[in-house]
Amino acid sequence: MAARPGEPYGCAMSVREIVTRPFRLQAWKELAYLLLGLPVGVVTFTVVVTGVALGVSLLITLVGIPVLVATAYADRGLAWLERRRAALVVGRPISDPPYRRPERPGALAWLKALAVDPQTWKEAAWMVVVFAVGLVGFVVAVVLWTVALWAVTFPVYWWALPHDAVPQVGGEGDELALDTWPLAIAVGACGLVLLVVSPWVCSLLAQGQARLARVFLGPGAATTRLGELTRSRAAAVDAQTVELRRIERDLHDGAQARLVAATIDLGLAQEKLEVDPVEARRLVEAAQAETKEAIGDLRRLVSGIAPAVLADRGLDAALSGLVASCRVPVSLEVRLPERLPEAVEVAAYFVAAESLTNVQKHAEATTASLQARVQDGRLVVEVTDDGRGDAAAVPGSGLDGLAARVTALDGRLLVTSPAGGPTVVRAEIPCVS
Amino acid sequence: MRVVIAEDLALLREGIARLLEEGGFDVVASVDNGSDLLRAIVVEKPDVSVVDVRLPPTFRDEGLRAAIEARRRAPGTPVLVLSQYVEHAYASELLADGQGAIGYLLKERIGDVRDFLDAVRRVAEGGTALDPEVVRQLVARRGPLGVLSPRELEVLGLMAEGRSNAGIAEALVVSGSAVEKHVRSIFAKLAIAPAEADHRRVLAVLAYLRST
Repeated sequence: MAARPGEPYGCAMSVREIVTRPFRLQAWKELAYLLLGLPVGVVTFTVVVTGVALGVSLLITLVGIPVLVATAYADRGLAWLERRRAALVVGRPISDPPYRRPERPGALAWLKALAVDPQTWKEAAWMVVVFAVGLVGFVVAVVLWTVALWAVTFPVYWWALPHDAVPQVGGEGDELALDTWPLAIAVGACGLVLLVVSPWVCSLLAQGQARLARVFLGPGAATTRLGELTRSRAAAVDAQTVELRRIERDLHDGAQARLVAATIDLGLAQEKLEVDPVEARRLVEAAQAETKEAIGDLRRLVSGIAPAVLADRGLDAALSGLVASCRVPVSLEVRLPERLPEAVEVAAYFVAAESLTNVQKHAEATTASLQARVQDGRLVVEVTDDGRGDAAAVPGSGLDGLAARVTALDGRLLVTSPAGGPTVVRAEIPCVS
Repeated sequence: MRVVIAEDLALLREGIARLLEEGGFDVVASVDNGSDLLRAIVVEKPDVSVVDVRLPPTFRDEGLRAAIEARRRAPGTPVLVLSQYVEHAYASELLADGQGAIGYLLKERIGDVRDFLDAVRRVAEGGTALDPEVVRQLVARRGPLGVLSPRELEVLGLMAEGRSNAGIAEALVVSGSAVEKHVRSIFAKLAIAPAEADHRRVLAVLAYLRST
């Protein structure tokens, strides 16, 4: 298998892969990372040491505070670059951590937020650490590669060297001049071995450095989880907004419009009551028809918001109802415990309802299936149809709304729908009670 | 009178057209979106347009924007806007050009056939027709118009709805001369210079709207 950035170890590799590593792009990226380590380290070390030393020594005059603040912000900028440099090794930049925001407006609160943010200190520490590890990485990489290249090319030119320039190995008084073909070829062979070994050593060093960088510069595990929660909360709000918008649209174009139309008919009827009773009667009938339609619209809208059967009889019954009213034949397979948390049931219901609506409206399907089961603490709802496929959760679409709804419950929605079908919509929602 | 209708729901478009025709209007164009409305106003030069706030493609305030744009190109083009909601911000935007000939009514007012037809005619003739609900909201939050007495505010509100002095007198159950006295007082307090009576009424209403 191909070595993927970020996890080149831990899997069996063929000899060919081991040998060809130096000629892969990844090896060169790692080398570049190590070589950049020294200049980067020099800059960051200079900035942070100068800034902190100057700031602290000036603290007594208060001029130190702006110097320290400027240093902290310079660190942030350098840290931002460092996260991107790590992409050379791990494939993508280290995620930016959230910085602490001031609790109140005002300079003091802002200073406090900066000072108590652990990220400020971690970044400052990295500016020093990167100098040390960068130096080591740089030296090792340069020495390994120089020696390897020197050795591997040695057999080509050793004979042309002037006598006093022939390199010697061994200790004082026991020197061995490399001035015979067998020795030269032996040096070349060592060079070949080094050429294969160097990229591996460099890779190890680069990986180590990048991981260390992640510890200092990346968000902690708690913040990562916090990010997920923030996203799912945003999804919940989105789902709700989309839903409210849909309800407003349905009301505006449906019941409200029909009632206005009925009012118009009644108004006209009133005008004609005496002059043209026949027409007035027809208008009243039309108004009554509009009113009935409006009631129907309202009923459909209400069942779309919170289907009564779902609350009363649970998901199983509600899904049977959906299947029964679907114009495309649907095979239903439900294996569920008694009841699940309400939010989970509602989300699952809407996944099924929206998917079956799509099956009827867009898929041109002849059959479909609906499955619901609990598996590993997750409710899995899957709707499959044999239609023309090509469904996608484009922003603002029904599927997109479903995805938001499911994400809001920490679940996920998977849609596979190649052109020509079949379409599978699968929602997995945690439902551990 | 020649009228253009802009309403995206066919059901209502036809209902409004029928009602206006019954009322003696000549419906010269019925459109269902903002850009067609603009074109119809330019081509047909109707005496008045009846416009739904919400039109495709955005279904937000497309109709309102089209109306404002039409009035930017041809100032004073009479427009009666219909909406299912009362937003006095909409009314303020419509009236902002100070030209009058503006109506803003809730859709259900269409059912009061005579009042609705009156409102359409009034707007066509350069007057205003603000929904009583809009006026009620405005009265509920009066600002610098505090200089007006409560009675004068009431009169101003009825003016905003588009009523004549006689109509106001009827609504408040007072004499016509009492209403005239209040109206003069309103003009004086709002420092509206003497001009054609209708235009002064529009200016007073504008001052009223801007005060919120």
